[in-house]
Amino acid sequence: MKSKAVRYSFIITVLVLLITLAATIIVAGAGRWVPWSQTPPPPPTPGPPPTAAPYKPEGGEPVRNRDEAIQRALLVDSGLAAREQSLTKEMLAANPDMVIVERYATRQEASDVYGFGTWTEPEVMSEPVWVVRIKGKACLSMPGGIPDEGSEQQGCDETHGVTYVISQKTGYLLAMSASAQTRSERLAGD
Amino acid sequence: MFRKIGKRMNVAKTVLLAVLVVTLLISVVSIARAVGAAYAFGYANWTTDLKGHRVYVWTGTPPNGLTWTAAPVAMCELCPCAGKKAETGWIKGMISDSTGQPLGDVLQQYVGYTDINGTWHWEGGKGNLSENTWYQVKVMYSKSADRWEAWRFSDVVWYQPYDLGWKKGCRLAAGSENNDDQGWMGVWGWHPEYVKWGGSWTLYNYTSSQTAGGGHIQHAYDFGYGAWGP
Repeated sequence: MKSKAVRYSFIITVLVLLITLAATIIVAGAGRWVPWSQTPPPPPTPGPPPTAAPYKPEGGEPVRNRDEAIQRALLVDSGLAAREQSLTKEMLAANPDMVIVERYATRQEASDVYGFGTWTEPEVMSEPVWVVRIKGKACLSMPGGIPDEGSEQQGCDETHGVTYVISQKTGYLLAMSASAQTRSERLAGD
Repeated sequence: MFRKIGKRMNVAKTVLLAVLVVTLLISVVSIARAVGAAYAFGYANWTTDLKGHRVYVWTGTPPNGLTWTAAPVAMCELCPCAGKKAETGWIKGMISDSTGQPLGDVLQQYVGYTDINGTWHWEGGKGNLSENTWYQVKVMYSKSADRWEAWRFSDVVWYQPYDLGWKKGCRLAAGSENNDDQGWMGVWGWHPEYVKWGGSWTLYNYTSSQTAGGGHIQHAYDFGYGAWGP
């Protein structure tokens, strides 16, 4: 009787562990193992460049207020910033000096204040945006930034703040910088 | 009888422990592999007076759901590649986990650059790029406009009106990059060209390379590269 119970519990435990193992492998590998073709595509041929569709802020969900802007920023931050303590809405509410949220009628206005550049397509720069600045030490894995040659691979860059520019219409991230300062504050060396 | 049960229980315990240890090890390895970034750059060896870098990059069909993967065409202020940098290319991804898509997961041109204070900035252009298409992208300091610019074919698509503190580069890099050291990358580059101050556009083959994580780079075509991972 006892031996049967031991056998069943053994089988159940092994099954649970195997399922956990399979789930771990599936989750860790999700979305990654799409093969890359090692056959080069034919080189481009002379002719007119592909037509670019005009920019229209589509998809996503609109960001209607300060709280929603913070929520979007936290979502981005969770994917890009390693912090000693993960940021939460509650934490920012308890430390209001840690986060500054501003709304700009156009992306160009925000770019001028924060020292971002200008996309020449007028529609890109004319949409309303939210700028969320988060102060505090973080290690950012921002897209781009060719690593220094010969350096060991760096997982992230240490910063004392980060700025996210978020589309009001879609909630998508439009720009970011590894600083929580405006351009004039950076130039003044504050 | 009890001896037999005891023996079986010991075997069961040992097997359970082994399975548990293997599971934990695989979990730890999976997590460790997901940390860090992967890249594959072919570098060119020129040393002074660089003003611009342009390359045809193939967008292919980057999978959905990646945090991000990109095809940078870059210039570095110093040799070896260091100091201030400027780059453009395509990027696709979500910049978050599966709970949201802050980047929209759409193929778009981006720019990245270091400002005069040494702060890194990233700007998305939001869409407009097609899969399986060649785009010639270019990052360049414009003498006439006195500014850094990013181009797509013959159009200036982005410019930086503020002084970034450098006008001459020393090193070129092009390839592929992502946020995950075993994550997907896939870029073909064709006809990389550089221009020096006072010079004209010149074709080159890369002469050195740098890879990290699961990144690989190889020569392709007469002048070009394939950068992929893992």
